Amino acid sequence: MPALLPGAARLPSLALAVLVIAAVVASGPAPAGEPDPVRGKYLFAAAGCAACHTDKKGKGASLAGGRKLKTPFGIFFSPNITPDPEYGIGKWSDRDFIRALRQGVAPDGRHYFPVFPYPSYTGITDRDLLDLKAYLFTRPPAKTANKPHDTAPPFGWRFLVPLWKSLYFTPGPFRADPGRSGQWNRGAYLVTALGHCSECHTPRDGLGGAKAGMALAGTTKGPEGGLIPNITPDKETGIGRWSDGDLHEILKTGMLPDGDFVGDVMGEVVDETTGRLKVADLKAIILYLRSLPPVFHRIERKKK
Amino acid sequence: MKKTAIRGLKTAILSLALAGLIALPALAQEGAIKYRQSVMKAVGGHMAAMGAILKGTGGQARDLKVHADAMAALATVAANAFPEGSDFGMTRAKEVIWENPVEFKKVVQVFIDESAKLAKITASGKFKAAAAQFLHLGKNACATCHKKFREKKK
Repeated sequence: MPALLPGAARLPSLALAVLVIAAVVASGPAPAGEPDPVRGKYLFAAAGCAACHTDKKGKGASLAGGRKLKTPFGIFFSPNITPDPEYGIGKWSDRDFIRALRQGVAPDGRHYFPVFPYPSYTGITDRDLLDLKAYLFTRPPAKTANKPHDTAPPFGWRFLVPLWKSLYFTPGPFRADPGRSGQWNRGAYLVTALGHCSECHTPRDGLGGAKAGMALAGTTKGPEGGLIPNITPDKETGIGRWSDGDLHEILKTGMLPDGDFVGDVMGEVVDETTGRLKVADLKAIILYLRSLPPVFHRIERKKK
Repeated sequence: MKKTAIRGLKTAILSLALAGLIALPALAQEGAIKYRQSVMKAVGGHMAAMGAILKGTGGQARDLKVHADAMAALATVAANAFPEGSDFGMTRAKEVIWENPVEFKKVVQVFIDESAKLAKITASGKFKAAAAQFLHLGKNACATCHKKFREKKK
C-alpha cells in the first residue's frame, strides 16, 4: 500500500490534531438560549439527513437507518438516528452530538468512516447543531438495530480513519468571510456545511479525499457509480451558461433546462433538501455557486 | 478434403443464422429504445417550453395550449413506448419496469391523468392554476417515475 506512506510521515501532525480536537471539545462553548426544534426542522431539511438515514426501499422506519450506501470503498449501512435510547441516539448528550458531527467521532470514541459527511457537517455552527438535535429528539424512536458495514480492506479498517482524517479533514465551524456579503456567506454555509454538496460533486482521489482545486467540478464515480455533473461556473463543462432561473428550477423542482426531471440521487436531494429551502436561501446558494472559480472538467457518459 | 469444405460451409451458414437470430431482435430492441428516447425528448421539450411560458422567460401565453395538448397526447404514446424486451441495449430504463409492470403502469397512469388535467386547465385559460398543475405533473409524474424506473447516468 504505497499510497498510504505519505500519511505515515504525517503521524506527528496527527497526534497534534488529536490534541487540538480534544482541547476544542473540552472547552466547546454552549450557545445561549434553548434549542429550537422548529428551526431544527428546517436545518434537518437543509442538511438532507432523511435521505441517507431512512431505508425507503426496504420500507424501514423514518430515520432508523439501514439504507445501503454503495461507494467505491465498500457498502455502508446508515445508522439509526431516532431518539431510541437503545438503538438510536437517545442517550447522546449535546456534547456527544456536536462531537459526532464536528469531529466525526462517536460517543464511545470510535471514528466514523467519512461516508458520514462530517468533513462538510464540521462547518455547522453549535447553535444549528443543537437545534438540529432538538428536532431529531422530537421524532418517533425506532427499535431498529444498526447493520455492520460491508467493506473490503483497507477501507473497512477503522483504525486507519484517524490517518485519513489527518490527511483530508479540517475540523471547525464555518467562518464567515468578512470581505463578502451576508448573502454570499449564507450560500457558502448552505453549500459547504449543511448541504454537503461537495460530498458528491467534488471528485475524490484513490483514498477518498477531495481532489485539490477541483471543488464541485463533478465526477464520473459518484455514489452508486453515477455521473455527477460539474457545478462550477465553467461555461463549457459547468453551469456557466445556466440562467439564475435555470438554477432555481433544478433546485426547487428538479427540472433541468431541457425539460427533463432529475431522478436518482439528485431527485432525492430535491425532495428532501433543496425543494424545501426558502427562496432567499436558494438565491444565496446560486450566488455562491456563481462566485466559485470555474473548473474545466467535462463529465461525459461512457460511450459503449 | 471435400468433406471439410462442406463442413466449413455448414458451420458458416449455422453461424450466420445464429448471428441473425441474435442480431434481429437486438436491432428491433435498439429501434424500440431509440423510439422511446425520441418520445421522451419530445416530452422534455414540451415541459421546457411550458416552463418558459409559465415563468415568462420565453414564448407566448397563447401557445401554452399547444404544448399542453401535445403533452396529454404524448403521455398515451409514452405508455406504449416500453415494449417487452426493450430493456437491453443503450437504455437507462430499469429492468424493474418489466419485472413489476403493475407498479410501472400506476406511474404511467399518473402521467396520463395529470397531463390530461393540465390540458384541461390550460384550455380554460387559468394561467395560475396551469402553473400549479404543471409543477404537480413534473413532481408526480416525471420526477417520481425517473426516481423509480430510470437508471442514473453512467
